[in-house]
Amino acid sequence: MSNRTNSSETSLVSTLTESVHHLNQLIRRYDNGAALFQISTGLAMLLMLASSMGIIVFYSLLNQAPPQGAYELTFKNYEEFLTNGFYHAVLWDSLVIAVKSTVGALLLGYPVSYFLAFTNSDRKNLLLLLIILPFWINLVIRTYAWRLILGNKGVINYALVEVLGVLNSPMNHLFSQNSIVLGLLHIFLPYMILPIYVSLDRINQSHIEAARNLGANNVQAFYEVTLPQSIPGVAAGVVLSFVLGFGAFVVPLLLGGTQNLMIANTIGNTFIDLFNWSLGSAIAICVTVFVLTFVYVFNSIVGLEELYGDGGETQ
Amino acid sequence: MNGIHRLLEKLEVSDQNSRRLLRWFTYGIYVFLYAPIGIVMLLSFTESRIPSFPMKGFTFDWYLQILPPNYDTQIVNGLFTSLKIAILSSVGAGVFGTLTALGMVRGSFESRWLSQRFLNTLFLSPIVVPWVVTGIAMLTLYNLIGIQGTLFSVILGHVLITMPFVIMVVSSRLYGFDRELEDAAQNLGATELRTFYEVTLPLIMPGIIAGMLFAFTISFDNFTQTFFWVGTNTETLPIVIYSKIRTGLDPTINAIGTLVVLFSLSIALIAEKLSARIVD
Repeated sequence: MSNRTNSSETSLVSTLTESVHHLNQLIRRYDNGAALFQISTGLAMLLMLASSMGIIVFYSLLNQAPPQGAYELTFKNYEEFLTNGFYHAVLWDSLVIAVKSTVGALLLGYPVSYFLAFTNSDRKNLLLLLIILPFWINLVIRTYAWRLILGNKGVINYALVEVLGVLNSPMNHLFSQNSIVLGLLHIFLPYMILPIYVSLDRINQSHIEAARNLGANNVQAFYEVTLPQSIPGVAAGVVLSFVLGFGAFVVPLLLGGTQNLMIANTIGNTFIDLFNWSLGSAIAICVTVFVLTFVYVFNSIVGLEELYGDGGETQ
Repeated sequence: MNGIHRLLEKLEVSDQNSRRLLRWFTYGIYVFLYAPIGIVMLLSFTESRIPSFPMKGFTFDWYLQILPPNYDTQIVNGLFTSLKIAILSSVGAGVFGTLTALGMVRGSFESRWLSQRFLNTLFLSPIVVPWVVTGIAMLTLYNLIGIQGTLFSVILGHVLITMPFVIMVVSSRLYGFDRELEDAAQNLGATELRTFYEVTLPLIMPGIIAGMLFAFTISFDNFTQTFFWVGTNTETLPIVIYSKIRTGLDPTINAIGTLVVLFSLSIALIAEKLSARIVD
């Protein structure tokens, strides 16, 4: 590099060094101030979400939203939602679907978690990875895949009609409540398997050995020792699946047909198709309150933090 | 209680048989998990216009529909929009999420409202809000401030959705961070900024990158919230795929689907490998 440095270069360098020096001093003096500044970005994001929720609370109390000029507050949207039988039916359906898919995922997923926790296979890490990967497969494609399987020209009908000859003509499996349950439980399996695996993995094997030494058979040992200690994981999986199931949007949209919409679709329709933002807001608030209450109550009974406390190992 | 004990006593299952049963059941579940996607991939090569079983023939035709010269503009536009949004959102979520995680883990606030545990729950709370509610609520906000349907609004929304995940990954990396390394650097004379840049940042970088890759995938694949934020010129790829599905079965969907899945999976694999180093 040449020895000749012109004056503007030197002053740029010195300004930079000076500002870095000032920054260092600032950080030193306002150690907590720096942290406050840092979390302010997170707080800003939360503020955005909170204000959007505030807006829909406000809209839910209006006759027409967004309000054009003068407005008055009214509870008529909530009345409509809570009294109209149509919404009762959709809510009940959503509840039933959420419960069925959660229970299904639990029954199918628990044995898999058990296997993963107690296996000595050296492919354990690969098997765990294979459970995590479906999380990252596009939801729309995964759900669409079920249309290929359940549809008139799909795999199941092909097997039943052509291969096994059980049916004479293809049966419609799609567009029923059970197709939604199937699609959902397929999605919930990883959400169920992972937390239960984490719980089971933590169990001290010597407890089980002790039970066997004291005369229990393997079923009794499981019931008395293993099962109770897996409850936190079961709880986490159940909460996740139920909340996602109750609020499901894509799966009923693609697999449910027009007769089997769930509450999330109703909210979407009320907003987009009916342009009724005030009613849609009211329904959305009710659903959110329900979900938050559910999570809070579940948490106080079962204490999900036990599981969360280890700071997200796998993710 | 005794009744259950007596019942369970009778349910003796031989160890070997139960092990074998469990193993086959587990493999069955794995097949169940991956079969639908497998079928999508398989049928993307079918020759018939309507993907049906059994598969007739084998062709790459449907993949060619996505490439020049006669590609489907809707799909390609959707792809580029999704990529733009995903890149910008993941960078945004990465920067702001990392900053937030740093402040959250290291700030020694005295107020009860800013305790670490509370902040932890607070910053992860957006995950608990049902997706459709986030979608419509942010829609009303965008409508109010006049950015409804713009690309910026979608990017903003995606940053909102993905930031909690970045915070989660980076903060877990920070909890395990040995601050004595920073003390050592400062004892040797390094200033705060230099310590951060030369000691802290390189050590948490795998976490930051993993978080950003997760954010990218979540943004790229997102449908529910995005459904409420897109306008006529800002269709993302999942939205395009959805409208194609609505019009009917089409093997092009299988082809795009296969490519999208492979793309997301490779990104997710890299991210998992990076964040796995945190556990080590």
